[in-house]
Amino acid sequence: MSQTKTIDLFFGPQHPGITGNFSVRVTVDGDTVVKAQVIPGFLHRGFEKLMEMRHWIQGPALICRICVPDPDHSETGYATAVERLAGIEVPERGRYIRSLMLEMSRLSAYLFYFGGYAGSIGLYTVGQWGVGDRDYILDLFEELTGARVYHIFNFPGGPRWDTPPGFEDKVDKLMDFLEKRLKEFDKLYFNNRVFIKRARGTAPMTKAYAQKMEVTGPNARATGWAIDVRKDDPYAAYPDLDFDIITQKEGDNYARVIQRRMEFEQSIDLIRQITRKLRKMPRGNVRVTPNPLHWKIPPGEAYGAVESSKGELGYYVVSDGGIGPYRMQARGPSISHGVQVYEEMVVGQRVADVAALMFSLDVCPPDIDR
Amino acid sequence: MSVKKEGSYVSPFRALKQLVKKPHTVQIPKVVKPPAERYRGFHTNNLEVCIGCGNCSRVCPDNAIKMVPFPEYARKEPGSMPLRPQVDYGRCCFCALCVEVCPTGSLQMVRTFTHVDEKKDSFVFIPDSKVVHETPDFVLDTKNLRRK
Ligand code: SF4
Ligand code: SF4
Repeated sequence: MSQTKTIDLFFGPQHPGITGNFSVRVTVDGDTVVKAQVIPGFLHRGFEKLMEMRHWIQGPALICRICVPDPDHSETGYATAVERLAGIEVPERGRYIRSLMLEMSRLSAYLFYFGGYAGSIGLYTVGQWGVGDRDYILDLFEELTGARVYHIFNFPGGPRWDTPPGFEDKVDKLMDFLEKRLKEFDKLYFNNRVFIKRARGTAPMTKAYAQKMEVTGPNARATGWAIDVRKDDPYAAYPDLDFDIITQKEGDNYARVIQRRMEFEQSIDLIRQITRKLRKMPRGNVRVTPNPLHWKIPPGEAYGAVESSKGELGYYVVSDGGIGPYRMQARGPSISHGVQVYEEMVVGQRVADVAALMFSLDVCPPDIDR
Repeated sequence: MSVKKEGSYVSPFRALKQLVKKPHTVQIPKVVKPPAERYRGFHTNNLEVCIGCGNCSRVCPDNAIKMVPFPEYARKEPGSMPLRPQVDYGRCCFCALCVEVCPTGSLQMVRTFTHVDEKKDSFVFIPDSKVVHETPDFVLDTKNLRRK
């Protein structure tokens, strides 16, 4: 049998078709990928060890950097784990503000995602729109937290401050705007024949495969597997909110993108539920944190997970009774999506879909390297 | 849901109407977008009120605060030290934990956040009551970008 000559191509770390500081070496035969090897590690910062040298309260200042487009889920995952360990009950208003932030963060991460995937198939306008609209969400984050990207706001014990006056109205106004924009996104992108032809049937994933590879989040739901940490292990205000788990069937690139588009709509609805509730609640009491400099937590261990925009993001925290974690371990969704799953799924795809698959799985390299 | 199964080649062209809309972006420096009320920018410290307890330095996750001697503030009250915090903006991540733990409330953050200088030492300074340096509050001064 004659063997054609294969060549190695490098995608990344400096390549617009890669999601960040990350690289993939693909071996191609003609136009088809026959082997892929991911090369992570460009962004390793050793968060787990750094956390062990710090106070309980200092964690959120660091770990928001684990996932850049979606920092609030990192903060809340860690805060949930520490609260479970210390037996802290966050005040009701604090829980709602937390959920509000998480959903806003999900919206901003999905806007990035829409643009990222569209960019990988050449529809650059969507990226411009996504980043433009995301800035309005960042404006609100700035008003609430005092920072645009790394909010450092969800501490163990609750969010840092109450909402500024009139904040709920501004959020509702933005939700109306985003809902209108979503219709325009539909016309430009989700109903675009070019997108549908490129995405449908590309790199399908079955539910059984998703379960075997520990795929979580929207990628798992796109295969029809109804898992969602917000339902399975509720945190923040999710037990009180009314929503269903959305799923797709096919598990291909198209289903993964449409899954996020549907969840975008769901997040808008959740935010409206939250602001309605926040208006009725007495203001003020949002956080219970002991004196941060002398805060000791009794020995024990706890796991806290959140449903981030990319999948299950969990923190396992061990205390030996000291002023900081004895051991902290993060479970990020991108390790399975970006390394194990990606390496297998990209085989057999065309070169043009190498970047498209990476974007459709929503791989976050800072989360892989940590 | 308004996502259709087959899609269309025509509907994306409706996006062309965006061409007659105003852009998202603001024209810096002609238009200045002021930071929010709660914006966490540079530090200020009322050196008279600060007692030099060092809480800010101990809570800082980035080790950005060093307590430096200030003999002129030696006082007799218990807990008072002749030290004042010095912040290194090469390390600070603007988390405001230092502001939160300051028992006297002397340490605060202002909304100014631009500082451009060739000398790296100018990024390490002792916050006092004056807003950090001469750049006016939240104006990105293009002349400042080219200071000698
Ligand atoms: S600024 Fe506040 S926390 Fe820091 S030394 Fe002075 S009084 Fe203590
Ligand atoms: S803002 Fe945060 S990083 Fe900066 S000096 Fe204060 S505690 Fe340290």
